[in-house]
Amino acid sequence: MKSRHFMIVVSLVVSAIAMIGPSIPLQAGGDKIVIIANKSFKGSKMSKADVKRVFQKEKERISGMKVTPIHAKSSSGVRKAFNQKVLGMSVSKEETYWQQIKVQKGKLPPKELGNTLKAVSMVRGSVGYTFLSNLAGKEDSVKVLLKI
Amino acid sequence: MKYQKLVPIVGLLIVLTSPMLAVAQIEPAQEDETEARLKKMEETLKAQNEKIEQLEKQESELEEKQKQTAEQNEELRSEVESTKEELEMISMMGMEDDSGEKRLSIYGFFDVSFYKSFFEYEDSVLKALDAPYGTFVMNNINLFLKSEMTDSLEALIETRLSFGPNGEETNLPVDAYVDGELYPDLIDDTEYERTDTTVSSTISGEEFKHGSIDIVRAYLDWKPRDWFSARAGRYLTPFGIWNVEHASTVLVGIFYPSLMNQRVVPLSQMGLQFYGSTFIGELMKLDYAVTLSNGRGPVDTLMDLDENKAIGARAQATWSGENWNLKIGGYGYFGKYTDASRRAVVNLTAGPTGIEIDDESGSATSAVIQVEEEYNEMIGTADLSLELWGVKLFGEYVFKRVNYIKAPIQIRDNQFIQNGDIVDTRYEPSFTTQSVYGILAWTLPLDKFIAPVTITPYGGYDWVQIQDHFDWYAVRITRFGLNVKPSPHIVLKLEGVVDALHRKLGGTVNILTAQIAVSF
Repeated sequence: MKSRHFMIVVSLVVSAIAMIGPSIPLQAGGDKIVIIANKSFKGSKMSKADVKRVFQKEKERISGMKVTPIHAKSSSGVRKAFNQKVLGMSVSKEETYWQQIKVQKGKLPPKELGNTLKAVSMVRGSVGYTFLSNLAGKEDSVKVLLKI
Repeated sequence: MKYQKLVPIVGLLIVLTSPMLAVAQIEPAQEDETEARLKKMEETLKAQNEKIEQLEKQESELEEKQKQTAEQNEELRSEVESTKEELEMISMMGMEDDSGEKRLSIYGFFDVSFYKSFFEYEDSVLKALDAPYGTFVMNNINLFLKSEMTDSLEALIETRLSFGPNGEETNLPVDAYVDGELYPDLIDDTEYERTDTTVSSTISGEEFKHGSIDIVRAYLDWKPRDWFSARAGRYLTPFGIWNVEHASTVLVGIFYPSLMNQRVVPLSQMGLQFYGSTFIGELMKLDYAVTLSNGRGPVDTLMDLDENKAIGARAQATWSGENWNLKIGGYGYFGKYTDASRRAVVNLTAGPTGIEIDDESGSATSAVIQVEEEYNEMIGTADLSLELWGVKLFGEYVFKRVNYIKAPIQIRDNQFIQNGDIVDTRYEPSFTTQSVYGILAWTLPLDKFIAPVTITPYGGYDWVQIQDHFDWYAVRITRFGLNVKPSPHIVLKLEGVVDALHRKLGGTVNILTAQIAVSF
């Protein structure tokens, strides 16, 4: 009986942790992420591997043009979803990665902004991302490179 | 609304008092008085109801006002957010101007360690070379200045602040005992010397010990393409793993591997570097670097003491997947080391009026550069790093061949250990150095429970043969440790090292070290 009670308690705790835990808050219906670029960006599409390279600053130029990656705020849902789907690492692991790259190569992490759509539409050569639903009605302000 | 609660109380009063009214009817003399009281109560009730209505109205108005205030607050918050974003946007836009004013970044790292050595022999000679007692130490205080002046021009300066040279033991004399009798000058007739940098403040007379600054890196990068960039200045030699990572907040362990401590490869160089990278497919990346520098020398950061420039080349291939990463690289280096002294010469002649400058046989003045030591060195390195599901295996191998053109007199201590005597005409022979180390680390899969904290136990082995003609001149080191990162900015490490040296070098020493490394 004791072990049964123990199992029930464990199940409840695990369920509670699962509910409280850091889930990835997607927008309604598991919204897609769109990789967007400034209108000045040379090119009309980008592979998922290249998006990762751009955001890790392994690839800094595309067709000779300097690419400026713009991250969403680390606490935002779209950032957490982007990190999981594209970078394959949590936000804190990415921070650790940048601690390494800063001292190793002198490269600094991408700038973080609240409104990536607006920023990408304004900054030349920039690449960012947002939820597909946020793009509605503003498709003309940026180039859409990839939907994930 | 809360005044409505009074209504039933008042009603109850009426019900309770109604029998009394009934009794009053039986007694006609009191009828008028009862009616008057009833009327008065009705009036009171009416007045109370009116008051309740008034209070309800006030409450409703208050709620409306609160709602309006909340809406105004929300609008204000939204405006603040919007302004903040606009400021960020302006900052982003600032990245595009050419002023460079907003492009300077300052960051760095430092570490604090405590280490304690346990010597195999009570009288180990290592007590004269290593810290004999447990001690706190700050090994790295590094500051970075990074500037992105334009899209293709960047500059980086990394400085290492040090408490040295204060306390630097510049000479450790050797006392010799022959059959138990002391002959202090038999091997070494010098005295113990230690640098003291204590100075006094001019005004207050307060004493302090000044430290020093090591310029680890200082260079300009021109990056027109990912596959081609040029660097000028002082840079880290692009070999292996440890030298490039080099920060205590990044490195898994505490103690440097022997190939770093012995400077088997020059860790930094002054000159030019060309480098770049390209991707092949989704998984593979190729990196290259070519170095041209003063090479190794006693004053290579100031000037080269020969015309020969050192050349080097690195190639690295990286394959990356979802949860794995494999890197294989190598670096080759060829350079000439020259140590020389310089002096000026004035040619004089004995004239009728005394000593005169002799300018008849060519120039009256000249210079002499006297080569004291000279050798060619050829170095090859190989490194490998494999990461798989949180397990990381990495290591480096170095081979170096030194061929003397002009050999120095062999170091006295080495002569004595090797031969039991000291001869002033015994010169260093050409030699080979080899070193290898490997470390296996496993970041425990505890993400779901303790993220962002990571716990990484590790272990490794390290071997160096410093000069191949001295069989005792080798070190074998085994290490075990635990690396805990409570946040991306702080690393806590605990490391145990078994440093096995030949008995002639003092025997084995075990070292236990704890370190806090911080990045900012």
